[in-house]
Amino acid sequence: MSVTETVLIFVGVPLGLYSLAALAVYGPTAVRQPRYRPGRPWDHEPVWFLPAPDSVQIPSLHGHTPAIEAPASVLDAPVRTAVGGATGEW
Amino acid sequence: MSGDVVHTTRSALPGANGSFGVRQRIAPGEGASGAFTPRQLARIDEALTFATRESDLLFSLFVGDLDEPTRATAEEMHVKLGVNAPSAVLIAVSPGQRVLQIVTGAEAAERIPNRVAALAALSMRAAFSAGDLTGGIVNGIRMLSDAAGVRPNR
Repeated sequence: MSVTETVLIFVGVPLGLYSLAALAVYGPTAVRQPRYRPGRPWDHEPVWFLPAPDSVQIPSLHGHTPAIEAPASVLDAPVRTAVGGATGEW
Repeated sequence: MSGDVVHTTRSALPGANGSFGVRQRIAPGEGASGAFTPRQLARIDEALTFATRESDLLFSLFVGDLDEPTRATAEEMHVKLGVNAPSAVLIAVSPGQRVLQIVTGAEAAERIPNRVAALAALSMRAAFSAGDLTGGIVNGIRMLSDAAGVRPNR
């Protein structure tokens, strides 16, 4: 066995095995998106989700418009539609 | 599955007259600004759609920073749901500020009492503080829609 062969077998094979194991362990984590951790800043775009209009019956999502336009004064007045709910912090 | 989540950014909110402005459909495999994976988006979509269909209340979810005071901002956003606002449930989650707001309209508040909303908020907080954003959101939506029950006149 030449020196090159010895080095390849006794260094190359263990190295290959170790790197395979490392890939199997750390690979999926590296590919996956970083998950949310409390306390970290949130620098994603704000998103507002609504149910898909095709699958639910929501009047205004199906092109329904009020028969009478509300006068501007009504629209300008401060509106409050919230009645209840809850607040939480973590 | 049912359909795609309709997602809109804060600048293109549903108009006050009840017409929904610019909205984008998220194609499968296309993340919403990278905040959620397609799989997570599908779970949120399913939860929102089933909750809305079953309870006949409009379930809506906002994820992003809320201006201070966060409660007032969430209530302003609820107004923007227009004609749907009385029967709308808005869940606003701000992971950066670690605040969540559940806002119910008049009809929604009748069917989802505040203590139920508080319980849902508690369960969501527990999931969020463990770093499980999607799980908390999905369970919160389910708790709220379960409390609301099926639509009364059907």
